[in-house]
Amino acid sequence: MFHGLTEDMLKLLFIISEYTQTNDEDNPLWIKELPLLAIIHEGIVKGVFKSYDYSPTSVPMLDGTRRWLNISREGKDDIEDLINLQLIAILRLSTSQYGYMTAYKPTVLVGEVLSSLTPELKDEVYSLIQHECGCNYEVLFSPDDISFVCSTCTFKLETSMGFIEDVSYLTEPYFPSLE
Amino acid sequence: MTSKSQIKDELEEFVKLGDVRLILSEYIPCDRNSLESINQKLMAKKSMQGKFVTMLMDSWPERAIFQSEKKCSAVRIIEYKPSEYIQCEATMQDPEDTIVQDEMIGMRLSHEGNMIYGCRITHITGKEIGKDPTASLDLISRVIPDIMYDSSLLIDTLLTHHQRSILDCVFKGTANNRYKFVGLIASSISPAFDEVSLYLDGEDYQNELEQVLDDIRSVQEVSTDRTLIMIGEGGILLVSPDWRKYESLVIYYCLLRSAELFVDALFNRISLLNDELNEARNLIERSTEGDYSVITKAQNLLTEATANYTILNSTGGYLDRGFGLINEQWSKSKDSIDSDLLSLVAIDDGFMALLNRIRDIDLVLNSIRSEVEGLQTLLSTQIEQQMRRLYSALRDNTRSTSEVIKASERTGDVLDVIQLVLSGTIAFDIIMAFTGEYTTPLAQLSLEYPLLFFLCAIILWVVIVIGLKKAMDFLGRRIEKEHMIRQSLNIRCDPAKIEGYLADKVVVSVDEEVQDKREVVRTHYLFDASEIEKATVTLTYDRKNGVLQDLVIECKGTNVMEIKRKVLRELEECFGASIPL
Repeated sequence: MFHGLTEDMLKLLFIISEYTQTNDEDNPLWIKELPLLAIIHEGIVKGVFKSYDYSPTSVPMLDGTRRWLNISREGKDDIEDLINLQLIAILRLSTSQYGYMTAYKPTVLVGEVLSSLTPELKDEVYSLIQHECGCNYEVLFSPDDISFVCSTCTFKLETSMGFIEDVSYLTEPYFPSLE
Repeated sequence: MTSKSQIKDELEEFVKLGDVRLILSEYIPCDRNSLESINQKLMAKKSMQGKFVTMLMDSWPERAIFQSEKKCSAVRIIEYKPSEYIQCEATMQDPEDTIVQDEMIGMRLSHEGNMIYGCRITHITGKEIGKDPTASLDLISRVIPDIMYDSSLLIDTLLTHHQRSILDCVFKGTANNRYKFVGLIASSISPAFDEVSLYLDGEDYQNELEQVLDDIRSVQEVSTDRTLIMIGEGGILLVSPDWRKYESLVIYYCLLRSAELFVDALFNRISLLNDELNEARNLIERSTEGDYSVITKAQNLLTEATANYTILNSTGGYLDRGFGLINEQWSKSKDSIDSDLLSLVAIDDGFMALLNRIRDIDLVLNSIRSEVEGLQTLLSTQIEQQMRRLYSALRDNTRSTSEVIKASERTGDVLDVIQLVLSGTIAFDIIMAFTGEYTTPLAQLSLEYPLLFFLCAIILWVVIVIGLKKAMDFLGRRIEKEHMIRQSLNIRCDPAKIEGYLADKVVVSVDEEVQDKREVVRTHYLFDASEIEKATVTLTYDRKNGVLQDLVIECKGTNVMEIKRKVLRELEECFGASIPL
């Protein structure tokens, strides 16, 4: 039914569904965009997402300040594609600091797609989002600390999402003309 | 140092540019005097080269040595017009860099507040960038944050303290991470599609372009000279072999969008200021309900919010002036730009919308000013009421202390009398030590009439006691006693009648404590009990609920009860109801 879903899109969908599983139908869970992008970045570093790369982007944080983070445009693009395919729903809400936040959850159509996932693909995703103990990492996302935490083992893994890689370059002054 | 990169990921490079110029634009509140201050810091009037500048202040001017921070910027003035603009080239020095990053950038600071940083990227990862498209957007996207951050550090060293305060306030203490609108000018692009919509493929090409421009709004082409303009949320890319022709358009567009970014941040900060004021209001309301412990916190919060308001308010004025002037400049410059391209970019509409937004910011700031003033008055009232309560408690305390002192004085008088009696006894004992015990003819009487003798002794004792008592009272009368009676009443009454009654009195002072559910009024007035005796009466009543709460009478002399009866009689006559004593 859903042709054209790439392997990375399936992994992304599986991650979203893993983090939003709940038995409480009246109060569904949503995964916030920035933590999801942190998982995607970690997935790129660990080689889980093979077709994605990342680049520094100035991101408005939840407290209204900005920070340069390594964001995957391909990851964001796939999220948009999944929204267009109605496989994930999008929620926009205001934060207490007058910013806006986006969150995602799978739609009912996802069940069919996920049932076709291979155990290998699931294992690959679990290696990204689960600690050795088998529990899903919680993603802590604050302006000063972006890390994966296993609350069962009190294990913390700091991500390199906020570390902007340097490239060597040379520049010379340029004075643009206003005339 | 190496000419490599720290990138761990394998980059797939789809879009490349040739002859790349990077422009970063931002708005910083400025005026002619601030610019002149920057001029002085840079010694613009002297032709010295390679000056280093720092934002540190010299706290010990008397010392011979100054210790600076690790990073220092070298700045060389290229051109300046007093109080109008400064054009200089700057180099950031960072000894911690492990990678070759020779950043030389051009800076243009103007009194209107537009700050433009420009550089031509000549090499990336050791490769020379020429006219052919060899600079990948993947790599350029990593150069931009570096230059953006370093330019923030650089301009910070030049700004006045007031400008730094504004940036610190607007960007909530993270001014160095502020975003600057990105302008990229290139003479060539690869791949060079004939159909510009192919860049918006929703996949690899668009993703790469969005790495530097953020979400793309539009892609336009000027077919006459193969000029391509892409506009994103965070930047603009101009690709043209004849890019000089469109340079000013890109600059003005960058100025416009960077001002929008500043207005966004300002509006967000104003909203947060509103929150701070709401918190202060909540604390003040808690204090009116009796929780006086929060007054200091409310005071601190309101002081901070007022300081922030003052800074933000001045920013509104800077924006209004600055962008009015920039708009005038734009009106003069736009004639030389292709009209079709102008309509595509819609820069005129952008300026109009921005000026309207700036005017609307003034509206919000005006409403906040009213809020700040209101809260200041409310807090002052609360503090005043607390002072009154403190004064009242202090007065009661002083009165109690005074009573204790007077009681102590009376005890002292008693002890004086006892001392006199004892000294007489000692004197008689000394005499008797020489004369020995002696008897009088009356001594026999005690043996013959023991009962009579006993009665006489008792009568004598009573006489002496009465004598001493009279002596004590005499001494007591010498100190004029102050009496105070507090009578709880708690009776319903008509506040208008009480105020009518008080209108005939000599009122010394009135304390009012207005709360949500009650208005407690304490009136201190003089009461003429007789021609000689006067008393001070404090009448406490709740004006809102019509309850006469209590009465305190203070007077000198002994007939305080009589005065109290007189006061209550007057009150009964006033209300036409009996008041229990």
